[in-house]
Amino acid sequence: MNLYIILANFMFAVGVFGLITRRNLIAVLISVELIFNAANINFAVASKLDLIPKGDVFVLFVIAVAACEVAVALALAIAIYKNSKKLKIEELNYLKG
Amino acid sequence: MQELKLLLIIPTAIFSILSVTLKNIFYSALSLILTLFCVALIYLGIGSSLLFAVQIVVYVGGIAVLILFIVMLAGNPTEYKNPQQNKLLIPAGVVSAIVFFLLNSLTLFLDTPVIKKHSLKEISNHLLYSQVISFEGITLLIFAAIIGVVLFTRK
Repeated sequence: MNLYIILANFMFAVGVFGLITRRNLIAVLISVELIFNAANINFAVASKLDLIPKGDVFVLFVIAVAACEVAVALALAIAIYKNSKKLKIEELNYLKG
Repeated sequence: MQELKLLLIIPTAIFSILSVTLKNIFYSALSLILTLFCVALIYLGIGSSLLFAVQIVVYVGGIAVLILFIVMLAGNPTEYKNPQQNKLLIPAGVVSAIVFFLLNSLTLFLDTPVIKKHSLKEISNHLLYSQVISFEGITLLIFAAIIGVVLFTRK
C-alpha cells in the first residue's frame, strides 16, 4: 500500500511541475487532471487502510467535481479560442489592466 | 504481489511524466488517457471495483474524450515545434521535488497493515443516507455546470 501512496505523491509532484511550466491552456488542464487523480489514489488507499472511513465515497465526489471542472474549463477554452484564436497562457492577459 | 504492484506503478509514473513533458498536446492527451487507465487498474488492484468502473466510465470515457475533442478543435500543430515549457523549468523542478519529498516524509510513517474491504452495499448506504446532503449538492453543482457551459459557448 505504501508504494501506491508514493505513486500518488509522485503524480501530484508531476502535476505541479506541469502546472507551473506548461504554456498551453489544455496542457495545464491535463496537469490538473493528474493532480485530481493523485488525490483520488490517496483517498482510495486511505479508505483501504481504514484511515478515512468510507473514503471511496469521497473519491466519487471528487470525480464528479472534476468532471464539472473540466466541462466548464473546456467551455471557457472554446470561448477564448473563438475570441482570440489562441490558447497560449502568456498572451491571455487581457484582464491585467 | 509486489511485482504486480510495480507492474502497475511504473507505467503510471512513466505515462504521467510523458503527459506533462511531450511537445505535442495530442500525444500528451493520449498519455493522460493511459495514465487514467492505469489508475483504474490500481483501483482494481486495491480491491474497489466500483471505483474502477466509475474511473473507466467518467475519466477514460468522458473527460479524456472531451480533452481530445478540444485538442483536435483548437490545437495548432505548427506551434508544437516550439518549446512547450516556459522559463520556469528549473524552479518548477525544484518546487515539485520539494513537494514530493515533503509529502513522502508526511505519509511514509503510515504503515498500518489493516486492509478493509467496503462492499458496494456499504458504500451506497453511506452515500445515500449519511452523505445525502453532499450527494444532492453534487447534483446541483452538475446542473450549474451544465448551465454555465451553455452560457459560455453560446454566441
